[in-house]
Amino acid sequence: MSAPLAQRRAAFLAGLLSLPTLAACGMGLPIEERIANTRPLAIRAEVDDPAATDEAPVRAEALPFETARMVPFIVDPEGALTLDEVETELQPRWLACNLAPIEGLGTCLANRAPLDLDDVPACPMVDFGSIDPSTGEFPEFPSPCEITTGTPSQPELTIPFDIAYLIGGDIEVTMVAHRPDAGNTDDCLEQLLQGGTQADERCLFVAQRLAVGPDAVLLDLAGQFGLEDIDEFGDIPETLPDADTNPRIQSFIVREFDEDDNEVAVFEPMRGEVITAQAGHRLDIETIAPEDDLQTFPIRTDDGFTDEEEAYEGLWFTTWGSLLSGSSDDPLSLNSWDLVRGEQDEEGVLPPGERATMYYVLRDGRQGVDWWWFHVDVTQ
Amino acid sequence: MRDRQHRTALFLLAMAAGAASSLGPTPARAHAAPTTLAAVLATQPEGLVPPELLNSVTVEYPPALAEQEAPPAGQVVVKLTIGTDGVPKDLSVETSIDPELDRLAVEGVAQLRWKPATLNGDPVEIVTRLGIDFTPPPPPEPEPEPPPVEPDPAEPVVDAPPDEPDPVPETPDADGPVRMKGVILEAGQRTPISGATIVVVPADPDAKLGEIKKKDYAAEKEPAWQAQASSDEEGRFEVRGTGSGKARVIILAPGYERIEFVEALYEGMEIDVKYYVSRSPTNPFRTVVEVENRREEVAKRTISAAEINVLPGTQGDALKAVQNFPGVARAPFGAGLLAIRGTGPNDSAVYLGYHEIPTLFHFGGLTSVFNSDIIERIDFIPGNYDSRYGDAIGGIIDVEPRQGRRDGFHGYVDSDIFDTGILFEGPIGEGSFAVSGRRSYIDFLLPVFLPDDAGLDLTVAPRYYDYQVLFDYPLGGGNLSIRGFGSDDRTRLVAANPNDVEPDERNRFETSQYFHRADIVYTKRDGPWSFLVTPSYRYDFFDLGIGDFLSFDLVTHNLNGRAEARAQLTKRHAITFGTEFQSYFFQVGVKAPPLPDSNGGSSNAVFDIDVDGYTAIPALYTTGEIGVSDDFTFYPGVRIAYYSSPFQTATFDPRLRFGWQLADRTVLKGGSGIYSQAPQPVEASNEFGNPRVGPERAVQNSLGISQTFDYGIEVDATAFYNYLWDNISESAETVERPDGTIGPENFANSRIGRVYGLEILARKQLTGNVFGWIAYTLSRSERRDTPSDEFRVFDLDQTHILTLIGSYKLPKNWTVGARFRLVSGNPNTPVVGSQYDASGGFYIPINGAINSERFPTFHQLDIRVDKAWIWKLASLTLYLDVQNVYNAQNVEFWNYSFDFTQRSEIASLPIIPSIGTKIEF
Repeated sequence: MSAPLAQRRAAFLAGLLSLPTLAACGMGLPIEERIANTRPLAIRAEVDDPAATDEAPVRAEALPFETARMVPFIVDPEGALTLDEVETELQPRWLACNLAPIEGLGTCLANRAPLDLDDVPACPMVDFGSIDPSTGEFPEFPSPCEITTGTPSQPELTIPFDIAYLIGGDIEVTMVAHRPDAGNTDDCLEQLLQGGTQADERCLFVAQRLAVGPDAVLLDLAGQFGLEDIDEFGDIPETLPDADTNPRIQSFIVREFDEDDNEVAVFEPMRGEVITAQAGHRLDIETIAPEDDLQTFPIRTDDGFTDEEEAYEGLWFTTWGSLLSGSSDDPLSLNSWDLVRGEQDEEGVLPPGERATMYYVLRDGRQGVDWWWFHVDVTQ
Repeated sequence: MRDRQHRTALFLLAMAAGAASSLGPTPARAHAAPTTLAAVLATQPEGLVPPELLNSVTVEYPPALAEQEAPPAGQVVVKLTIGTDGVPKDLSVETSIDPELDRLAVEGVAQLRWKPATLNGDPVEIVTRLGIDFTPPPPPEPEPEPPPVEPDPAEPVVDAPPDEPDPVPETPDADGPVRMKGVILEAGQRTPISGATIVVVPADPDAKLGEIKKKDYAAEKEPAWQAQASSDEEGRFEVRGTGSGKARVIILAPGYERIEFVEALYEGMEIDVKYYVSRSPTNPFRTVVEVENRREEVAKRTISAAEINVLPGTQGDALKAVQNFPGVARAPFGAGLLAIRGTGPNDSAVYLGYHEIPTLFHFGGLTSVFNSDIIERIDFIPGNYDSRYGDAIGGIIDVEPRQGRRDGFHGYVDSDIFDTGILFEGPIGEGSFAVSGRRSYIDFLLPVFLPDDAGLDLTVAPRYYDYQVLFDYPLGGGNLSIRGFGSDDRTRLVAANPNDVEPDERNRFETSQYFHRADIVYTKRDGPWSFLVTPSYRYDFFDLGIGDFLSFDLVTHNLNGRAEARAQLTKRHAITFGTEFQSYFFQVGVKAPPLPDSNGGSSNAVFDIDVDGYTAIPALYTTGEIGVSDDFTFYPGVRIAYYSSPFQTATFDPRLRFGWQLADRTVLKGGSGIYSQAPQPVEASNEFGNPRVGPERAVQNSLGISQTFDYGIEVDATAFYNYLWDNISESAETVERPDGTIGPENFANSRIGRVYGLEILARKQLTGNVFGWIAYTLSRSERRDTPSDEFRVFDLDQTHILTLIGSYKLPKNWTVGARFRLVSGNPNTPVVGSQYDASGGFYIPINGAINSERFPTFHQLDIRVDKAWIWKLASLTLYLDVQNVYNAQNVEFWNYSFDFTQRSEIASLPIIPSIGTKIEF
């Protein structure tokens, strides 16, 4: 298991251990699995790779001079926001910042604050042809800088070259936006650059690590290009690892059960599709992500390298009703969704607009992510 | 070398009410107690015939006290009731000068006997007071080196004064035959009681044989005959010259309940009896902690075992009791953190038997890892401690185990809701042993009470045990102690996801922490010299595992040693010097994501490292005692330590203290000194920290005044100002590391701090039926992480800490007590916003200014009720300890919503009743 998933589990377990104390105290706080307002759930990095086949998973890890597209998954109680809605309702702006090898996400900007908005330049275009690696000097890439290429809802960044990437450094990509009909993005951006001590609830701040690597491939390439003293940055494994890729949710099967536990319908909804089910019934969901998409990757140790395995971590969200569990961690993930009013839902046997939505976000323990969602028209 | 221990007998003069004439044989030194006489005569009614003293008692001035720089002297006033049988009872000290002298005074008065007072011819009880003067013997002179072959007539030869005459023995009728013999033993303990008085008088012929439960003293008449005897060191006695028939046997022993029996004495026959007497509930001196107050610390608090046993809110745990003294910050959730005088928990050191221990409490605060019942002494020194203590910039807790008992085989079984402990001790040849152990049963009970759908599979529920084996033996004129003890805490659980078919190992959480230690301690006193040599080995293990992504294993081998010598050069001058060697070899294996800084979210890196290392800290120290006058003494000292790899730094810590006896009951103390400590191993490691960091430093300054009053009341006030520098702070700087690589600095010696405040302790010692104290601390503790930062308050800064403790002993072995605490809330860093970590799928808080908020004021009341039953061979104690009686909802932390937009309170522990029982034999 790698870091993001690990941290989440650590937080989960820490919370679990203090359950007896927290149980009484946590009453009334919003439930994480319940989508009650506009919320970001994920950002997927998609590396533009002309050589990739349609069947191959999309890379989430880029090498310098490659271009990566950042795709946000932002939802609200009525469903996933389209790219147009993201652009018009949230008006996001995007920043890129070089993360040191062990820096946690969010610290890159925080450690450089306070900054004035005017001091953050646009990220320059990276010109591969202007670089002569034999000199050992590379054009300085401003950090942080604002990503202005691509579209506001799907920005694109061509990865520069930085020595820190050779030892595990990455790029922190931050989306700054305002909530629909509240605040404005420029103010939010200014607050973030000032250190966030005046953070505004009308703002959305979302950070995603854009992995640059794999490190071993970077070192190998740097050596091929004549960069000296590569050995100082560490050994290179005998077999160069593959880049981190995004996992793929393969199927989504929904079975409807009545109050007597009789199966009354089976659905295979596509992303964003609408199905119909009766209030009071239970929906059992089964989703499969290929186990083959889980990658093995090397971790540097004192004795060389050791292999680590990716692991699935699925997060489940709904706009109404109650879920059996908020998470799952297997290629075949199961969950149950009771179409009855949840703890923090409004009065009534039906959801607002008589429609409820389920969202599912699947991460692979590194930077790979995929998502799925479907709507249920709930009938009496 | 000759034993130069002086023995000086002081005769106790009892000034009974209205009796101005000489009492008993003429004492060698007699001191009147005019207050007693005047007070009683002024209120003497008509028809009252005062009691008449029948005997006298000799009290020896304790040699241990006589060797102090300023031996206590003065008058102890004891309040007592002289019963209609002429026996004193209800003894209490009204004017105290020293706990030991108070005890001797009470014991001496308890042995006095009177002809009862009468009012209009009828015997009546009289309440009165006696003043007992104590004067220390002349101070010892140093042993001449080398001893002269022949005495030089020009120099006086100092010799021990001749022994004073022994106490006047009882004078039984030596001509009569032995009619009764037997032994007096303490009920429940079976230990012999020496010095008990056995009075035999005729009984009513109709009286029932056996113990007399109630006695109507008003019906007493002058006995036809009376015989009397005293018990020897083995508790044995013989009574001669009695009449025949039924006899009333009265057993009187100081500090014990009076008991009476009716026995049948037949002409020409001898009976053999065994009597068990119970300790008086007003006897305060069962296990008083002795304090050898050589090193005059500016503020050293001690607490007796008798006080600890009934302290509310601590479950009889000695080390938890320390948390009630001024200067100790309140730890959240009753955890065992010892944050002393505005420093962090890692800045203070806990010594157990001359060496540090890695952890003080099981599971961070449940109960201490060492049995409180085999502790001889606990010294709590919040600052300006002696040079013998090093590697700490906060305070010191020094715990000394006691020897096993030599007065027979004893033990107990002690159970409460968490664990059961046993103790067995007794003599071995000329030495003694004590074996003790304790194990929790939470792991048995928790699965029973945990609901099946709780989502937890407790593979190993929280489980702890500890053990102690102590062996002491006199050897070569000194004492050899061999000690082994240890502690073991383990937990393993798996959190089950509702949609998992089986518990997933990736959701496991496990911890193990244990240590085992073996010590050898040899101490010896030889004239003015005293010596200490103690090597020690300790094995530590710590393991933490969360899922399959975080594992931390640490094994440490600690080899420590201390050698110390002290010489009493003259009455006013002494010197101590010693050496301490601390060393540890550690092996650590870590597999974990690196720890991001306070605002960080997920990281993409993983540590998978095995590291080992060795660090040694040899130190030399010395402290002198320079008596400028009888009232003023300096204590200069210095400690020089060398911190080996990775620090390779030496520290020189000069320290100076003084004690000034301003008046008989008033002492002014002060001190100033420099203190150093090594950073935490993780902070200095090449892999996780910064090997360039060096020792943290502090200068401590304090000035205190101590005043004693009547009734065992002491008031102590200490002002302090401590400045900290070179303390470790997190650092986000990018630097060239020692191995030439570029990387984060992680930690740096850039933090400074200042702590200042006032501590007040008003304390009524356990004399009579009442003890308690009021502890108040007013302080402020601030830190500045880098020169560009502003000072901020420290994490455990608590402006006001007020603790009220009281305990009252009731008749029939009932004791009730209460503790009330009122403490400023801890500082808190508010969350002012959040950022979504899309890589991990969770929110990262955006923090406001560090420690810019405070939690609400903490207040809590705890009560405790004890009841003891004492039988001949054993005793049973049952207690109820209720924490947070009125269930105050004190906020300890904020519980934030997943996106940090809302928060709710996490309150401290709710009302917790705890029942325990202890069977002793």
